[in-house]
Amino acid sequence: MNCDRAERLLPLLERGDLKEKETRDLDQHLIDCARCAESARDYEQFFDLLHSTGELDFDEEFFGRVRRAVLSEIRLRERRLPTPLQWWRSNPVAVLGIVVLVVIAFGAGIAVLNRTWSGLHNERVASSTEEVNRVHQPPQANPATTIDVVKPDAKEQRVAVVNSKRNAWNRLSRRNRNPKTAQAGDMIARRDGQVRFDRKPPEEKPNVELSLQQAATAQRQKASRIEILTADPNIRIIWLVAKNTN
Amino acid sequence: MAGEVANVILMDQKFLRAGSAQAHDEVYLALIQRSKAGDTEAFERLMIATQQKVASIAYRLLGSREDAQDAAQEVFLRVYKNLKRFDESKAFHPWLYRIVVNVCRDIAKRERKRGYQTVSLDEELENELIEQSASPRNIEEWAMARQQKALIEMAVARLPYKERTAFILRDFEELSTEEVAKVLGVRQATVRVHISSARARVRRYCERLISRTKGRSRNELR
Repeated sequence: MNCDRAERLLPLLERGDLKEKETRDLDQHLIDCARCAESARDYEQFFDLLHSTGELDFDEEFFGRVRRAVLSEIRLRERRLPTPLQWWRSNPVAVLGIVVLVVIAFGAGIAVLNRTWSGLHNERVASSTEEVNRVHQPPQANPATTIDVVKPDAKEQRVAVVNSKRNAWNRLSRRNRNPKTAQAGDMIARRDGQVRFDRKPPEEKPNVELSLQQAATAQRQKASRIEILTADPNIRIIWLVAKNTN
Repeated sequence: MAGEVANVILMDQKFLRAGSAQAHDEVYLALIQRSKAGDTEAFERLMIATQQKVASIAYRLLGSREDAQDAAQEVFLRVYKNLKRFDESKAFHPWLYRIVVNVCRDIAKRERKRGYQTVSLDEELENELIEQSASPRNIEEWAMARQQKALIEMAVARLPYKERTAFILRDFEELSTEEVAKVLGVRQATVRVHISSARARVRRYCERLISRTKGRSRNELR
């Protein structure tokens, strides 16, 4: 063992903080080295000085203040309402049970509200239908309802055709938009919506789409209207309910 | 209250005299159990039984009585708060020491952030001590316990915090290296390094101060 290592181990010798082998080596070194042996004696004096200091003196007033402050703080904390975290720490099972109950109650409440609301809505619809039937009940013995398919007028049909062809124009390829490059049989169209067909105009299919506005206008004076959408977007069933003229 | 203090001290002394560490632990255990059940009187007795150690460590770690008092209050509040989590199969004192060390570290950090000097035993006090000891009247009384205590306190206050903690727990509270390691949450080898360094520093500081004192007194005698 050299002196540097001995210097590092010397503070640990006196209080028995060294391992057995280290103690043996250091003892051997102290026999051989006078300087380290003197240093070891200095450490002995230092430990004597350290142990002579004894305990620190604190008066009872010091401790009394500490205890009073602690106890008053404890009483204050106990008086406060426990926070959820404190509840959780004190009794996690009970807190978990309460949380589950609250969640179940909340869900049940929402379900009940939802059911009540939808029931009220249905009732309102039903009552309004009944009211309509009652109010618009014709005095005659004639059938109160008719099912009619209303055809749109020619103008609206034309507008619908133009719109559909304008949409077709937008879908045309660049080649087909140009009359020079368009092939025979292609549809030639212009941006302004005027559409013409080079050779063979597309066959006009009878538009069976109902004009609701027209139907409403036509029947406004005589009937209320209930529309029924069908799977075919071009066909709607209008249920006309005759008004009570009285 | 004074009666209770005497009672606890007598109780502690009785068990210490009997040399029954187990019985001593049982007393603490009974107080802890009652405190856990919300008995503040038992907790007060527990405070009385441990206040000297708590205050001593706090004072040596923080270097001022005011900080030591604040630390002691905080320590006992934390003990009360965490008592339910204390494992009764383990020793109480290492657990208490860990709380003291943590609280003092927090206070020291807080004071450092505020820019206060953590060590109140400053240069002025050091010079005052030298003046007192160097005067012809007191030169023979240099070895008096009060001055020795002050000398050691000043030296300890100048140690880095980790070394100071290990040194105080090992040399003043007389915990074993293993116990110190457990309290500080470090390895025993680390504790030995800290203790070795701390003892060397304290010894050097004391020697330097004593040599300065002797030099000044010699000059004054001339």
